[in-house]
Amino acid sequence: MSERTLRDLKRARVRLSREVVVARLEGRTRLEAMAGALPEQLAALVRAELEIDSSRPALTAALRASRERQLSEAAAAIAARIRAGIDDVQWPTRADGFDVVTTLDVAAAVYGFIASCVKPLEALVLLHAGRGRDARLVHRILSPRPFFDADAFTALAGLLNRVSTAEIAVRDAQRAHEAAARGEPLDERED
Amino acid sequence: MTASPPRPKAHSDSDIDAILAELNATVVDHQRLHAWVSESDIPLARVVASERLTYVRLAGKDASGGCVVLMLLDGAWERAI
Repeated sequence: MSERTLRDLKRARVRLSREVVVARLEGRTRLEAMAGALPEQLAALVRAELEIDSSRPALTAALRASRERQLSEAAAAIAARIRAGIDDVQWPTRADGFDVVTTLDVAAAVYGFIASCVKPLEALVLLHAGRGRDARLVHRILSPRPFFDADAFTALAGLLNRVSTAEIAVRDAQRAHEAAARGEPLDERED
Repeated sequence: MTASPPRPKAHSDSDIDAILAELNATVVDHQRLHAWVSESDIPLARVVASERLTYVRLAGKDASGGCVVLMLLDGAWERAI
């Protein structure tokens, strides 16, 4: 009996590992997609705010080049942070009280992370845009919300639910194995 | 045949701004969210209050039928989704 429950436990653990790998892969894919687009989309807004756009003649060429370099570096750093953020997102889990993870739960978790990543662009605008620029207005202008597609996280929500199911299976298999090791009949085990 | 529960009313932009103003005035950190929820009559579909992530999802949609998620970011509430 103990051999059987040990085998079941090993299988459950393998399945959990597989589900975690698949979910993390999808998470990385989503973050990669955002890293490839969002920083540049927001950088375009910054260009407009700082009049870096070459169609606007107000800035000298040297100043425009300097700001463009700073902006490019900031956007690249944000992209890198998003790309590497798989362990920085507060992914919704059953342990956090989510019985079922929805697309919007995942999207909210990613949004919270993304919003923290894009702060350097706000700082850049406030640094260069002159005195009196309202920080809250800049924050609103540079919100990632218009570029954020919550529906992109549907598959990941499903995968995170599969991870939760696999975690429960491991927990149940562990209990069954421990009960078997104590010599308790299967039908008298605790659930 | 049983009647289905009433659908939560849609929130206009000004409704959402008013909820954000109320949240900003009363919920300055995640620990105060549940107290606000217990006193509020705004139907909510989800309440998440942790140190790293705090948000509410309104049960009603916005004027264009979209979901509404309001999030606490750096001490201020804003619409995330």
